[in-house]
Amino acid sequence: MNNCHTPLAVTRRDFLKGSMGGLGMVAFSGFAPSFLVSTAQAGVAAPETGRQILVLVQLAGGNDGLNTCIPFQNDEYYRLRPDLAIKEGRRKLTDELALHPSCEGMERLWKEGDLSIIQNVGYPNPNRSHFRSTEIWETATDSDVIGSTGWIGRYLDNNCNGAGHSNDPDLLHIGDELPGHFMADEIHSVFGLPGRGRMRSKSKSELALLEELTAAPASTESGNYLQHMIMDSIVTEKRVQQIVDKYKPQATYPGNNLGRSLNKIAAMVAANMETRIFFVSQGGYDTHANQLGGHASRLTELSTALAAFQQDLKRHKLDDQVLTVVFSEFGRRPNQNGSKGTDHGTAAPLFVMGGSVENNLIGQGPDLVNLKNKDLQHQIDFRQVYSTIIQNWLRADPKAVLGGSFSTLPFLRA
Amino acid sequence: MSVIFQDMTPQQAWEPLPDMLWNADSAAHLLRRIGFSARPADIQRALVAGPRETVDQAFSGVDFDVPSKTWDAHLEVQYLRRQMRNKDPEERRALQRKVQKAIREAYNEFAMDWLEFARKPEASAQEKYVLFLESIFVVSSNKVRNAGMIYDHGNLLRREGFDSYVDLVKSISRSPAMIQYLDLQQSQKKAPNENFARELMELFTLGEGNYTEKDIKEAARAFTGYGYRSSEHYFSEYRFTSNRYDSGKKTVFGNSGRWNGDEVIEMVFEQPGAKTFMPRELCLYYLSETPLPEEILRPLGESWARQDFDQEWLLRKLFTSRIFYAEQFRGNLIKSPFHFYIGLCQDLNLDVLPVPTRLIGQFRNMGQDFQNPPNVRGWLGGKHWITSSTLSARQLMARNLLYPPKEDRYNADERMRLEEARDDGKGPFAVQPDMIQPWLKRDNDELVEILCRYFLPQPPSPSFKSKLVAHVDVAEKYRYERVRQALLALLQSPVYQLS
Repeated sequence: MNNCHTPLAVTRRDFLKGSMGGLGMVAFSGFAPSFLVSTAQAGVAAPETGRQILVLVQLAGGNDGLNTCIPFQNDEYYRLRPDLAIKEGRRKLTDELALHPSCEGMERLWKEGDLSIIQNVGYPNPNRSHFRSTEIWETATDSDVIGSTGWIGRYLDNNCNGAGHSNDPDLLHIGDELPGHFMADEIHSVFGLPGRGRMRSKSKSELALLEELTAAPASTESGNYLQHMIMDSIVTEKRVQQIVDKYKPQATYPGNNLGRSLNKIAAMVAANMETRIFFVSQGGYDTHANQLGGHASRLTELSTALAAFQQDLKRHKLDDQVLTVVFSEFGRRPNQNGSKGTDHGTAAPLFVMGGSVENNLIGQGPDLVNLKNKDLQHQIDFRQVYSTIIQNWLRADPKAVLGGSFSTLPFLRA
Repeated sequence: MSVIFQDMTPQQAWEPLPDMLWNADSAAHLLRRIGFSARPADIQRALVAGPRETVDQAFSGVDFDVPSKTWDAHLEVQYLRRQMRNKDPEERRALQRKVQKAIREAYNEFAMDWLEFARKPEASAQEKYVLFLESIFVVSSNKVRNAGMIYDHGNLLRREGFDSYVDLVKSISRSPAMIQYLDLQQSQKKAPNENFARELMELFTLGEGNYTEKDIKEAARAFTGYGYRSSEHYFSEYRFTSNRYDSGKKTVFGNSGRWNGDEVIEMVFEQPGAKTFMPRELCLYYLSETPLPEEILRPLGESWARQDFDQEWLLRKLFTSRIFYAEQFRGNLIKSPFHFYIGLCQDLNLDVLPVPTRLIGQFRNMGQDFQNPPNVRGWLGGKHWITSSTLSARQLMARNLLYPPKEDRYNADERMRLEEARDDGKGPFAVQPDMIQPWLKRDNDELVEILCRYFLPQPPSPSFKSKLVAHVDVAEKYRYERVRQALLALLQSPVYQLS
């Protein structure tokens, strides 16, 4: 086993010195959160370089792949979608493939070599329930096997020494709910950042008293654990808020939720937080009716947010350290439905973004003739993407995490 | 890692607690573990009654009536689904949205009724046990889009959870919610689905390592033909389709025969692993997040098997045994979000806030979405309850009870729910001055002593108390507010999260 965490960031130490008022006493109370102990031991540590950070962006609801990556030379596309086929303003990438008109930023990323599109990603025996298919992507199991841990959770179970070794959370998600990807057998330190607005502000005296009570020695093992966790979350909350407030982005993020979330993640990456894996979700892709307008808006949000994030990282010279993966639980049916929308489908394109990405296009375009149950057949298993990330980005053994071998894909520079 | 006992042999562990060890602390320990709280009057009653009598009273059996609004919503869903026939796609979609809304409402109303029911002191122990069984026999609202079926499932646990565990497992195999959750209705002779057979052995009865993949494959064939249909008296009922059933010879645990599902379940209980599986799970839930050593569990499992796997016997044994009261277990279990909230209501003498839109989401944020565990393993519990987000949500929950959001921010529906509940004589829903005022008569040390004894499972450290004393040591006119703040911090503190 190796410890996932590299030496302490200087910022942490300064932060503790500067602003922790109520925490000074913790060190004297017989209980000290691990970061205090390790700060003392580590002395002054250099900021990290060569980190591999993974940002997962989930497009919740099932993104319509065919209108995102448009097979504009394919007559079937227009036949299947008389009202929904995109005919104008497309952003041509290759002789066969164009992006949706909303995807200006993503087109630029592609041209600059920072975006890779992996086509036709799915899994055998597709399930069309949002809940179940999301779970399959989270647990990375075969579609007829119900798993109970997420692939990221298993990655940590296999490769880290458990919670409490790091200053910073192992995993960070934006939004209230723990993503299934993070579910693990072991306890890891997970932090959730509210999706909207600042963190809830508590009155000063109220928080101060809670800090004091939390710092008092606990008499049981679980009490000790809670004490650690409460104190840690108070500290992390303050730390993250300060990092986010102080951050000067080098790009203009769009004012939507995803843009705000990626802005926060960039701030945390730039502040050298030790967190390696971030998760954020963008909703609104379940386009059953009148999808043209809504889908265009979602893609505008996505494309502008991704482009700003990448530009920001680039200008901070951090783009080589961050890999962003954009996926959805399924694509949508090739044919439009009676409400000018599309119903739940199967395979869809997946996007990988970062300074270490290579090969713009992987996999074949969708085959709109040989449909199965009127639906696309996947060509690349999503676990091949995971396997590549685990092996070539996180530098771990994918077999132990995925419970099987999946051939890797050439979307990362060696 | 397992727990070490130096002062008890495995046999002694399960002997009844000696009378001399029954005192206010052990009574409080029992009450907090068997139910959700231990208020001074309850402790006094338990002290007089003794452990056995207290356990019997706690499990006296209370019916949980069909949540009427859930039934209404169920009927509406059926009506809407009939309407959908022969409609064009546009209309169907509109109706489908109404169906989804009705299903959500059915769940929310189910949640409200259940919270109010579980909050009743006479139902608390039973409902905490039902939560335990639901964490073994997992179904989820995400997969089972019918609140009534999950109500029926819970009621099955309530009704049969105190008899033979073998019979309970047989009934579970016929529970429509379970059949739906594990796709058993799609399992047929041509293509048996292994989900149920796998969970039967791994999560209901034996645990990993006590069966082979072949046992699962063969057993799965015995559960073909299981399904359910709609019913007049229940939300749905079991239906067996014989032409989907595989009546051929199966070999399970080395025994060959034309076994049906019930016979497979009986063979499962002949496996040695079955004797200790349920006792182990029960101890993890009620006693210690760290598993008890096998040598402690084994004699209990042996006796339980001789009692024909009688659940009531097992519960009584656990809650009256010496080991249950061992010092190292006191105050060392992290409350589940439902335990935390219902305990708060009982401790603070509050009724459940009758506004689902303001209440239900808080459980999701605390990490225990009502009837919606993340996967087949159910709630992992213990330390898994605690993340930064769930801690914030717990803190907010406590805060809402002491500093409730202003009611004029509620919408018209929400205000109406409050009014209706008040007309029914319910309330208060948040801490009122008359709870705090009597404490103000005490001096600071006494006041803090009372608060700690009343709310905490264990006496806190002197520095904990002195921080509280310092906080309330202010001029008279600020004292009420300071005491309220102290109470909030106490309820948010690590030690109040423990039982």
